[in-house]
Amino acid sequence: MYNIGIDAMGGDNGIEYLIDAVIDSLNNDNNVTFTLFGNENEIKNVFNSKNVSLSNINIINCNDKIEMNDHPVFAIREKVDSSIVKSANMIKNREIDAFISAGSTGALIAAAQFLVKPIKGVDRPVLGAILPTNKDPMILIDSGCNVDSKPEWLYQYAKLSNIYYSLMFDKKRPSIGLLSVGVEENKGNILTKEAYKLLKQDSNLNFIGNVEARDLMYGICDIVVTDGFAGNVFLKTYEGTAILLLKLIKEQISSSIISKIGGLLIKPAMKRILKKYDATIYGGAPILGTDGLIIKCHGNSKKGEFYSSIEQVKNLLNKNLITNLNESFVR
Amino acid sequence: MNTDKLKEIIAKFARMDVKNLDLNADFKNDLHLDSIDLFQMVMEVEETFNIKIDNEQLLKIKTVSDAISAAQNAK
Repeated sequence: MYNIGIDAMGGDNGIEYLIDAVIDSLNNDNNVTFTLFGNENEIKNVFNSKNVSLSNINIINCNDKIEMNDHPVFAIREKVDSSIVKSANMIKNREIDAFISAGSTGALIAAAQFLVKPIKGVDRPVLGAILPTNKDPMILIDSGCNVDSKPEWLYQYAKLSNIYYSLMFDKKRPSIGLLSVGVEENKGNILTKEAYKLLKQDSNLNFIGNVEARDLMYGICDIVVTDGFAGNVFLKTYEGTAILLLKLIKEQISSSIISKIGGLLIKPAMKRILKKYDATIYGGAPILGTDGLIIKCHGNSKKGEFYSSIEQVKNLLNKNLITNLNESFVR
Repeated sequence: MNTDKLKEIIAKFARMDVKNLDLNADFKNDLHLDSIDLFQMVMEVEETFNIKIDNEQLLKIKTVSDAISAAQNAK
């Protein structure tokens, strides 16, 4: 029976959504135990208000809260009674099998690096965001963890995400692209040129070479490897462009009676597109390279994303993600 | 405090032989350690000697001798 840790202190929307997700999950599969980290009384009150018993639920009371503006490293050093620190210690001691949090990304990464510790052979844990594309989902790694990276780290990101993608999406030899400013081997900066050499020499990886940002959303590769700086710039440009496009379409549709009629006609098609590009169905972003399964959910996650993250964790635990990752770096 | 052991930990993070460790070496510019490496090293020092280096002191660590002083002054 898996014991899944849930951060009941992180996130922008309180704990109601995540408790709803836990209840739904237990209704579908009671062969799991959840350990909730947060204010014990608050958690109990929410369960009581829903007339749900606390069977299969452990609560670890936490008195500190890591805020978004806390310095991540200082926070994990000082706020030892917080959900993130307590859960990281329990993952390290194998008292819980995984941890899901919508709390501070920086503090989670710091906890992964300093408390849970990286698996042997990995220098830095890294955040892999799952993005929908016109074909299969794509992992963007690093999506913002290590803004100053080294070529060997990019190579490690590729190895980590290769295994993650294979297990998560049941796909052997996912294709791996290196984000650059041109597809030719000689294009890029010192970092990408050196990383290219490392990726090219590993026959265990299905490395397809350099890829350009404008092609990524067409689904030209399953994994795109980059440093945290470029990855985060790409991610936010992508998000910003998509939000702006939707806003402009909505504005134009509501600008006249005729365009409103047109809007009604295209509404089903628009809904299908939005559904296809809904990243929440894949769960949260894994922190890869740390010796424990940690999933970062978006700060404003609702029940759907928490539920998907729980399913994602169960899937990855069934497939022994952490053991597989450890073994791949021992070779 | 066992200063030799402390230097061994620093040398390990700097990926060099302890005999070659220069007390005036700057972690960033000479030893090419970034802030994450530095924090990791400090946490290992704290665990090894069961001490706690103050966060303000931690931010002032620039050189090997700064790190040794910070550890020696820690409680």
